[in-house]
Amino acid sequence: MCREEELFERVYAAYGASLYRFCLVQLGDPADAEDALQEVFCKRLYRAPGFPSPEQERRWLFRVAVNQCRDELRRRRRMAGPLPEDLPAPQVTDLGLWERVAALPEKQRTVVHLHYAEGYSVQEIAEVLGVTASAVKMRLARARAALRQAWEVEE
Amino acid sequence: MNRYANMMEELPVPADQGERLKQRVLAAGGAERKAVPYRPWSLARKALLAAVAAAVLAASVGAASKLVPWNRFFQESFDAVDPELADTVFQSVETAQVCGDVTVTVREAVMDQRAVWLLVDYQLPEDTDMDQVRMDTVSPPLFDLYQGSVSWAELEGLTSHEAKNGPMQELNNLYLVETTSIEAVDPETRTLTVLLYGRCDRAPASGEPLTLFAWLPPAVKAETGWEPLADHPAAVTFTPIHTSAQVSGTVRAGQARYSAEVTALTVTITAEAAREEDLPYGTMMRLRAELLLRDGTAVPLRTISNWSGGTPSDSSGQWQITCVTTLRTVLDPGEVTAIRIGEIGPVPAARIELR
Repeated sequence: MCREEELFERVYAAYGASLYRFCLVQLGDPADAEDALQEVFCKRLYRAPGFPSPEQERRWLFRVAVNQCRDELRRRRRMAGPLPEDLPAPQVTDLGLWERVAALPEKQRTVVHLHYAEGYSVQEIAEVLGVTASAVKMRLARARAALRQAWEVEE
Repeated sequence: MNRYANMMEELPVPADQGERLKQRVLAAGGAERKAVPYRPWSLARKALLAAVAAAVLAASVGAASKLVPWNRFFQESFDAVDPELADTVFQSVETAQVCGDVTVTVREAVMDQRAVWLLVDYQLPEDTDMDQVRMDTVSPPLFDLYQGSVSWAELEGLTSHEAKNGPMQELNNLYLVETTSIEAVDPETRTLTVLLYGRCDRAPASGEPLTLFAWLPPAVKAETGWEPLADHPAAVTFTPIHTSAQVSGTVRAGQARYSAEVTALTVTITAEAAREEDLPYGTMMRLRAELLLRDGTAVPLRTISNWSGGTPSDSSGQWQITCVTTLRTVLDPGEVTAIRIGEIGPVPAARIELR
């Protein structure tokens, strides 16, 4: 097995599922999520710096994934319009929650996922995204308010 | 919100995704390595680059191809570069540090053990009037580059002077940052994109942390003079890796002793003599020097380099001049077997064998 293959297998085993789920939350489409994931892994294998710790590597990977998904969302906005509505929904156990989170603006969706699904603290999210901790707190607060309002409307 | 975490935990990932992705990623890497390096200039320069590429690089210029996938800012500093050699010096760093109301991000690096180019984003405070910040009105931040790491918590609340004489004293100021230029201004994100070049005489080990210290914030030209766009220094620590491949050698020719070193991005030639008149001019060394390659061809240094420094200096009765040349290409030092310096006035020619 060559060095790159070994590196891919190590990184995918450690972070592949998490990164895929993040990209799927952002992009809503499994094929697009895998395309974004491919770019993340290409950068990891061929363009990455050294990492003094696994945590540094993890944060770098999520940062690249954030940027990759944002690039794809920008590309979609420049093209014909939103995704067709007949795309199959991902196989989630709580479709209502999935759809409410998917409806959030990208910046709020990102912090919600990194905080609740990946367990990052506010400060860690700020470092991943290159923003202030207060900006992260604001986005989380707005996301929680929007989700609460959506629940109340449904009930 | 535990519901969200549980839902994500149970979201299935396709069983064959790992294998499928691996094949695509490994194939994409192979395709990148087969890409031909090509950046068209004038016909005359094309011919010259073709000769250089054939002699020095391992690619064929002229075939339809894609560019080495470097950021366009680096592409403007380099000519034809073989993708395999480019891989030895280029990396995507993407390391950011929030420093109060500004954020500094080292995006990409091109570096070896002697030279470094960094592409840096400097995000301005939220209350910046971006109508006033344009390419023709803004002056870039000024940076120092250190070996070692420092946190924002150690610098917060300090002036540049206090920081330099305080926490930054613990780090090694290894690099001389020679040029800094603003390459782009993005009013939407309040971001200045800055390209800086630096070089060092004592190379840090690859994989050691470096700290980019913005000791002078950017400024905008106002009616009353330059107004700073932030009121404090900033810093970001990152950990690059770089090639350490090099060849070197010495020779005595006439009354001077020459030594030379070739790395992926630099060529350094030093001449020493008892008398100043026995030394060649630094500029002339670059103009008269040729790299002799393993396949027998000779590449004039002036055709693949940007600039060189060097003025004579006298230390303990010995005169010395050093010419440090920064290349517009990426070399495989192992392919360079010698440097030949032609006659420069009364100073005889010299040939420095390298290994």
